[in-house]
Amino acid sequence: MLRIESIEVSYGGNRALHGVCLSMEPGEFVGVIGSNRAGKTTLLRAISGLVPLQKGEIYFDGQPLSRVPAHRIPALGIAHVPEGRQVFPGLTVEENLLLGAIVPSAKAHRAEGLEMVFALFPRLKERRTQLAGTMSGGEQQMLAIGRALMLRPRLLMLDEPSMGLAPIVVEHVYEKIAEIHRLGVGVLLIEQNVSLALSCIQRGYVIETGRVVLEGTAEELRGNAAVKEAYLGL
Amino acid sequence: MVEVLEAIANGVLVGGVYAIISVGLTLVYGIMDIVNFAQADFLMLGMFAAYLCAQFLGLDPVLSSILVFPVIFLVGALVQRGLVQRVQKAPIVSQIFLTVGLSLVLQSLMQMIFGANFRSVTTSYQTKAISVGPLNLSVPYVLAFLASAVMALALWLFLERTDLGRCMRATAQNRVAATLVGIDPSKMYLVAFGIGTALAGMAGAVILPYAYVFPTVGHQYALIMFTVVVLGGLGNVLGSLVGGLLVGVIHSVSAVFLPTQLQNLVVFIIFILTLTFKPTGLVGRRAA
Amino acid sequence: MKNAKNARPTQRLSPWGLLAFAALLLPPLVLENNGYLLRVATLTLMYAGLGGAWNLLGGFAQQISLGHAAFFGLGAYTSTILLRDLGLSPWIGMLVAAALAGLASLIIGIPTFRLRGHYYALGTLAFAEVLRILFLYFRSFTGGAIGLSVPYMGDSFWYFQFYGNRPYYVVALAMLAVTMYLTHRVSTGPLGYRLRALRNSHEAAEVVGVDTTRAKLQANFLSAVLAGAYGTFYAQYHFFIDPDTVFGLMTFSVKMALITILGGLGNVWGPLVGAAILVPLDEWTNAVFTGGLAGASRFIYGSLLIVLILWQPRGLLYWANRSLERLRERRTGAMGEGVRP
Ligand SMILES: Nc1ncnc2c1ncn2[C@@H]1O[C@H](COP(=O)(O)OP(=O)(O)OP(=O)(O)O)[C@@H](O)[C@H]1O
Ligand SMILES: [Mg+2]
Repeated sequence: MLRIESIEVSYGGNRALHGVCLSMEPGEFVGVIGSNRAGKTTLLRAISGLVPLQKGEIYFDGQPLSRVPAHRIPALGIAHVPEGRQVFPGLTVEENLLLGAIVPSAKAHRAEGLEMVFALFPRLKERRTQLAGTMSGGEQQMLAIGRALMLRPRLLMLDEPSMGLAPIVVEHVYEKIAEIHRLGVGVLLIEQNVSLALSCIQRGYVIETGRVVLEGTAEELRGNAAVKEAYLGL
Repeated sequence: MVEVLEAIANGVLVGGVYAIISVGLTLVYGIMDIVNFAQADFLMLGMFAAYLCAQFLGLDPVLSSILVFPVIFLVGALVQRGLVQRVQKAPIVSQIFLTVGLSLVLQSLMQMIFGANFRSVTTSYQTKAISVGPLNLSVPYVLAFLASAVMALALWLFLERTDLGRCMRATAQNRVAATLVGIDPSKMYLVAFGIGTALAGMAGAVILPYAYVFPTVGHQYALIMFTVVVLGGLGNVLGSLVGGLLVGVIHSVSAVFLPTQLQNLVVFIIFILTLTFKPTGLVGRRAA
Repeated sequence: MKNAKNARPTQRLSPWGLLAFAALLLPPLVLENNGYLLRVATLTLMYAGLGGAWNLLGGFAQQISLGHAAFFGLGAYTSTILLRDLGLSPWIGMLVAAALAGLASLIIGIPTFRLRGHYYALGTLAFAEVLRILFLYFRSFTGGAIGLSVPYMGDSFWYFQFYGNRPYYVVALAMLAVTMYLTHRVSTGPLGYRLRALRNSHEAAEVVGVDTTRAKLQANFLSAVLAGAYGTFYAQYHFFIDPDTVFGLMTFSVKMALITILGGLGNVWGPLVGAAILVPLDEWTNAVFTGGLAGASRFIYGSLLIVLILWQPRGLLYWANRSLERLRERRTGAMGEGVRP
């Protein structure tokens, strides 16, 4: 479904990704882990077309994405929950969700989408007329995920959904993500909290300073000595 | 006392128009982060368009404002695509002087076509007034206000109730997030600029029954517009509607106590004071 | 930051620059004293100086003032009123004008120094407008909309009034020399460094220890002092001033900026190059397009501004430099290839 072939991305003169490769099957749950500034966010931004590729190519269902403008990516079925949530603060919860289904293919199923999201996050239903900017961090994270689901994506990309949330809220959010995966949505998860990520993904990639240094099943990564030492603090 | 009341009432009437001509500035700034220094010249274009409708089609300016809207929208959209879009990411100095240059071009173009003389239209209600209690209100002003109120309501409905309106608000609040849900920001820029300039043009049409039109008529309104949007908080649509009424009333009431030449002075001093003490506007901060 | 420091030119004046400037002594020698050409040349120098004044803040720091006519107009009225009411020599009036303009810049600075970007442009625009209205209103003192004629004193150095253009040209050249030397000093000195640092980001500049408010106030003060002095020059040369002209947005505020942008923002020579193109063009179009075509000169002016912004926002000097460099590169590149075995 998703195939990334040795892409390179730079900001100004600084290269953030040096030939990253990654692939993913439909409905798979894949994680990308790595420490600060490893280039995880940049990887998702590249898939979404927010930063141009200098080299390499990204294929989604065989279609190359490098020439597709960023605003046309969602229509292909790729939803991106960005780092720091980025809800529309001055819009209500419901308006935020409706905007998640603004592309024509999703718009046709807007009512069902809303129902699905409200079933998954009953909290959002209670708060549907509240301004998004006035909600708590956990609620905003749920809203951001809900907004992405409104697209009825085949690939859901999540950038550190645990960031800045209390442990109990993180647990709740991760339960929901697992639930979404069970619905058949492919999930590409970025996470710094490695033990948390390894507890739910099927397969994972470890990146360091813009390079994939390790890949394997969750089982393999958990057993890897380097991962244990560098990320799990064992 | 009646004099002051009448001034307040008249202030509200012209203030409604000020609100509409200014709201485009705020709409464009909110989404594009660009101040359109040629905004007042789109008002002038609208006045000329309505003037032509009156001359050649015999249309009343308030009615022809409905025709003026799409015409100026088109002009605005072309200007956005051809010129303004190109400085979207440029330094501020380029953004400022591009629209300043545009203002010069629009004024001089109209001067070459129509000459510099003052023109006006005659309507049957030009000199009529209606009495509301002790107040005498001039019919052209009342009509212009009512038309502006309709425009404000339509704009509000558009922004609040339509998908396109929601997309515009979303883009103003978070451009990247808007892109990630599939909104094309450059399309929003186009629509915002088109609507912003078209509203100014439409307002130009509805004031034609009581105002002269000439190529540099925009000068009279430019600083008033800036005051309105700064009072309301640049980028805040509701704020600029309130700011319009406020400036209208201040303008009109100060004429009761001060010589007419100093009417604008009061407005500009308020403008400077607002910039000094509350540059985000009196009405409220722009979300995001 | 490092780049800005490295790119800092030396304090020394370049001999080529001095030579180029010395060439400006030629026009009064070859052009007719009472002729139109020398008049245009004189105006060119005046506008070059005004552009230089604007350049101090608008060019180096890119804080865009749309209200520099405020200082210019204030200067023009100050010396003229002093001459009219007290018979004071405009030379002294020019000093008072410059001082008053400088003072005004500090007063304007208080409310506007916090403003950035578009807000700063709007704030300065409003100030010039306030002055215009005040000078229009206090008619008995300023002559109002009718304007003010400079009292005629005959051909007198003491009263800064001359029959032909030559003396004016020399004065304008001297003023330009002062302006350019000052902008050169600022550009190569610590103030220039601070202004360039805050150009990109106030926050970043503050982090490296630049007092941005102070830098802006200093630059604006110098800029206003110069603009005020030019106001006096204009009044003495033109013999007539009125608020709509000397406090005008399009007449002066925008023109100063356009001249600078045309030549090169933040470049000491930019305003001179810009004025040398724009002022003659302006004079020519005004002479050619009259009557029904009266709008044409403003049309050209506006179009030029738009084309410039879209094509060469960094000005002609930058463009010329780049083209030269590229040419040189190509030549040395070709030679290098030839040499290699
Ligand atoms: N907008 C930008 N401009 C310049 N450099 C950037 C930008 N965004 C990221 N970088 C640089 O690119 C590299 C990768 O950053 P990226 O944000 O992708 O890392 P990350 O793995 O997501 O880090 P984190 O865990 O902190 O979110 C870093 O060196 C960073 O400094
Ligand atoms: Mg990140």
